[in-house]
Amino acid sequence: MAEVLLEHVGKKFGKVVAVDDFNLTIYHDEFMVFVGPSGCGKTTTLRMIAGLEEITSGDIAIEGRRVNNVPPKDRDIAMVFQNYALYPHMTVYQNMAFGLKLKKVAQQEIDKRVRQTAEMLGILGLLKRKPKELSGGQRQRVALGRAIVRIPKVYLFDEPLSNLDAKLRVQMRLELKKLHKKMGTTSIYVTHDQIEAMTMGDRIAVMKDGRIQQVGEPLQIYMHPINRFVASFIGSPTMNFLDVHVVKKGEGYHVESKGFSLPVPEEKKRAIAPYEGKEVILGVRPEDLSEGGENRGAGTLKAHVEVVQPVGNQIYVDVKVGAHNLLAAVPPQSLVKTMEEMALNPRLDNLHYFDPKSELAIA
Amino acid sequence: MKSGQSVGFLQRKGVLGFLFTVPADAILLLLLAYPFVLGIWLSFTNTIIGRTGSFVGLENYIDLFHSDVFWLTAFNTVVYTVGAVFFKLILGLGLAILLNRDFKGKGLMRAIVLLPWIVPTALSTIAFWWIFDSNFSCISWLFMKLGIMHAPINFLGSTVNARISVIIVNIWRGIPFFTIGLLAGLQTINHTLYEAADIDGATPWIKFKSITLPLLMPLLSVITTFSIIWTFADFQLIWIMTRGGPDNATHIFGTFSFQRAIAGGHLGEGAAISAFIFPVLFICVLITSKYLKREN
Repeated sequence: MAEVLLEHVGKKFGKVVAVDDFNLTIYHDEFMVFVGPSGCGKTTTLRMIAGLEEITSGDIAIEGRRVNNVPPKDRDIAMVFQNYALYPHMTVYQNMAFGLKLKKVAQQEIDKRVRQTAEMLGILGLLKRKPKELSGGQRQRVALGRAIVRIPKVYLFDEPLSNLDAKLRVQMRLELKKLHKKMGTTSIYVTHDQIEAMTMGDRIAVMKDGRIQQVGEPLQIYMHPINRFVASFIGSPTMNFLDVHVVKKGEGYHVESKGFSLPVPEEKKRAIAPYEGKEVILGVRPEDLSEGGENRGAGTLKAHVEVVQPVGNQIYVDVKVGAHNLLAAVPPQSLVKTMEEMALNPRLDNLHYFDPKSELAIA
Repeated sequence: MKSGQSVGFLQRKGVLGFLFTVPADAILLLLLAYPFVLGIWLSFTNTIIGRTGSFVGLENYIDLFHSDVFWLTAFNTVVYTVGAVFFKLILGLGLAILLNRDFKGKGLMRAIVLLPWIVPTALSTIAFWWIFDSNFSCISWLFMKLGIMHAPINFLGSTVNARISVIIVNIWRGIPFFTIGLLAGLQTINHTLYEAADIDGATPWIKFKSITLPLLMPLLSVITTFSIIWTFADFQLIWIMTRGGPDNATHIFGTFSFQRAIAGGHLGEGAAISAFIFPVLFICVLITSKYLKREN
């Protein structure tokens, strides 16, 4: 139960700015995810909250207490590292008990907490083993257990699932989320995997080049990305971007390029009006391109199929529309074939428009 | 047809591998095994330089057991080895931990630390010989100039001083081996372990005791064994500095054996002395390999 407050937090390594003017409040019991490409400053920010990295400017407060100069052990946090950082020469039990022993917790209490936590995580049978005798998933649990026994105010996760295989990652994702529901402790989770961010976060902070691009609930960010970077980073497969021209047609506007012309929905009319006669970037998510058997008139794209990639629940289709390459995700029942023509109907309400210079969303 | 057959023979499992190791085996046999066996044989004879001896059984060994100088030598060897290795380990480990930290010019410092190791022992020992000279010692000169003392220190002339002096030189020469070896070991320890320990609330001492030392232990034991072997079987450092004196106070097995066998001409007796080095080193190696097996 704690609120974490970051105000104008900055970090420089020599002349390199790693984190720049980071402002964010992480609420009580919230599961906050920092997501972004490598080098975006997400891990550095987490390490500053942990106290493993000194901050160059700004303030960090945990539960109302300024902790800029408080050593990690006194911040009442627990951290799960990407490589687990289990002490290799200690048993699972010793690994979990180490921090409590240093805190001078009574032996009986240590024993109780370690066993309770181990039971909760299903590693009770492994307490006498050493880390090298464990599988990746088991090590992950031990690392979690070591954090949980401390009963911290804030959990910090640094890409904890990135060393697991794909199947185990999905399973642990779910378990972590359940665990958070059960314990309800403020958690900050760093990942470069947007699916992990979307599925786990109560809120997500998307970062790039040391700056927060957008903070919000997962679906809010997915539906209303604030700029081109967020639009491309969140969502899989990645959004298609096309350079298009805005033209006025009757009362409304169309965006046009060689081979297609799409009407701009009524509610975007005002925002797009200043761009009349100019270029904008059109963003179309692959899942918003549905296959249309018959020509539905305005807004249907005539596409030439180049590559078909079935992934099971969907088929990814690489198509050429005019001079543009697009990716569409169509249902598995689709009979689409390579080198054939197909009709694609974009969901007009879900299209995104971006300013070509600032790359900000036009809305 | 003929060449086809010979290829087949070479490709037979083990044949080619054996052939490749033959040159190395031959060198080892010629330069290590032969002298070793010859030494053992000589220790059972009364050979002196210039005359082939005859088999005398354990006579040389029995004579040594009744010799005070031999027991003094054994004592000196143990003191020399234990004293020098202990301080080399402590100081080498300390230096390795310092050099493992991030600071400006650490590359240069690491290179400088290697110097005592690179300089030929014969050369550096002569420098120490001067530093410890009874009349011209720079240390004595400094202390006298500072008014701390009125007469030069008799470094190599008194038994206790001489023992301490040769141990100090051995420590000086041996620290780089520990430092560089342990530094390599320290760099393999994952730094996130220390960060996890920081969050767990470990002090620097606890981090050293609970993380660094246990993880360094396998390497530390190998390096220490090597150092024990080299120090126990040392020769040139002491021979140059004291020739075993004063009053045999710094004789160790190596120098004592050389003095009897080569300088004194009693090859049989000298060989018997040097044979005492072997069991001790053998036990050392045995203990270490056992320990390493358990660690794995």
